[in-house]
Amino acid sequence: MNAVLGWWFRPAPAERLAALRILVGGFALLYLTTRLPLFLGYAHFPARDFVPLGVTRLLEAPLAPGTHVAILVVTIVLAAAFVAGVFYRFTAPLFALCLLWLLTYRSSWSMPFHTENLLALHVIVLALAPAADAWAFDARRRDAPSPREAYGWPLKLMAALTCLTYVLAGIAKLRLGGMAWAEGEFLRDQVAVDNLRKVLLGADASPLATPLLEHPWLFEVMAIATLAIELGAPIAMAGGRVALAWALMAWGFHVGVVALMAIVFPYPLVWVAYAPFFAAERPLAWVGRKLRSLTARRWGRHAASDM
Amino acid sequence: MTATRLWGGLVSLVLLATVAYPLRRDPAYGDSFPLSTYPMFAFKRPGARVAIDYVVATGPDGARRHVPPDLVANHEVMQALMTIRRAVQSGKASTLCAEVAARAARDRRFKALDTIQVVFGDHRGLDFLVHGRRGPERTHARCPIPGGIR
Repeated sequence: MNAVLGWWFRPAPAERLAALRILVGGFALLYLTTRLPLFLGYAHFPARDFVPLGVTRLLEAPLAPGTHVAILVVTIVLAAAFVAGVFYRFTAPLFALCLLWLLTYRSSWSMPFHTENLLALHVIVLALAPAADAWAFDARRRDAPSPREAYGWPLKLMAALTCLTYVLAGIAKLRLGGMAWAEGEFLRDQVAVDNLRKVLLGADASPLATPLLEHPWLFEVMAIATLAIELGAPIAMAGGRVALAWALMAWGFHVGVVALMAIVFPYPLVWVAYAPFFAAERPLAWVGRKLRSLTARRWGRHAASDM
Repeated sequence: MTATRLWGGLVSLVLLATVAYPLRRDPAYGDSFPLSTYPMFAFKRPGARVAIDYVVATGPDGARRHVPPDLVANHEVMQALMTIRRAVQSGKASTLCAEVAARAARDRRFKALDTIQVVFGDHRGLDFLVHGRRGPERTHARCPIPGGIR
C-alpha cells in the first residue's frame, strides 16, 4: 500500500503541472474559439431536438439564446484566465464548471460527443489542483517552488483517466460484440455504415474506405490492434518508453479512424491527451526560451537602430 | 496522512470511481456526457445496413445531390441525422423540408436543382459503396426550392 501511495504521490515539479494547465487550457481555448459558429448555432436549434443529458438534465427546455451565448462568452474568457493562471483558485473551478456545462449542452442535441469527454475530465482535475504555482500570472512575483507531492498526483490522475477511457471503450466492444469483435467483421461493417451514412447525409466520406472494404483480413488485423491498445492502456502508467510506445500506438489508432471514417478526435491527435505521461514542461520551456531569445534579438536591433 | 494526500487521494478516488461507474450500465443504452460507456464502433451492424431518413435535392434529368448537414442543422453529421429523424417521427417532415429548401435557395451548390425531398432509404454498405447498388427509398415530404433552377 505504501509503495502504491509513494508512486501515486511521487513529487513532480510545479512547471510540469503548469505545462499541463497551459496545454489543456490552451487546447480548450482554441477548440471553443475555432468552433465559435458551431457553438453559437446551438442557440437557435429547434426545441424539439433537445434531449438533455448529464448536468443539463437540470433543464426542462433549452436555454434562452442570450443565456447560451453569455455562457459561451464567459467560458472563453475563463479559458484565457485558466491558461494565464489569473486568480486561479476562483477562475479554474468556474472554468471547469462552465466547460462541462457547455460541452454537455452541445451533446444534448443528438448524441454524446465522445471526442470531448477526456478534455472535460482533465480540466476538472487541473481545476482541483495547484496548477498555477508556476508559469502563471498568480506566480509572477515568486520563484517556482521545489517538486512536491501536490504537483505529482494530478498528473497521475490525468494519465489514469486517459487510460480508463480507453479501457471502457474496449470493454464496451467486448460486452456488445464478445470475442467476435476481434474477427474484424464488426469493424468492417462499422466503417461501411459510417461512410455510407456520411454519403447519404451529404458529408465527406473517406476516400480510403471503399477500396479497403474489399479486403476483410485488414479489418481483422485492425480489430485485434484496437482491442490490444484499448484494453492494454493501463501499461502506459509505467511511464517512460512504455508510455511512449502505447501513446504512439493509440495515436496511430486515431489516425486510422480519421483515414477510414473521417472522424477526428482532436484532443489525442494533437497529443494533449497523452501529455500527462511525459515531462510536458520541457517542450514548453524550449518554446519559451526561443521566444525570449527572439524577443531579445528584436529589442537589441531596435535599440541599436535608435542610437 | 498529510492534507495533500488526503485531498489528492479523495479527488483521485472519487473521479476514477465516477468515470468507471458507467460500467454498471448497459453500454448500448447507458451513454451520457462526460460519463460514458464509450460504445462507439462497438455495435454489430449486420450486412452494414443503413436504414435512415435523409434529405436529397433533385432536378431535371435525374440530377440528384444529398443535402449536406450544414443545410439541415450544422456541420455535425450526427446532429443532422437526429434533426431529420426527430422531424419525421414528430410528423414535421414537411416543415423541415421547407426549412432546408429555403436554405438551399441561397446556396450556389443547389442552383441546378429544383426540389427537396425528405426520404427514407434502406441500403447495404458494401453494395452501395463498393458495387454502386442503391436500396429502396420512400419519400416522406417533397417541396420546391424557392426560385427553382437559377
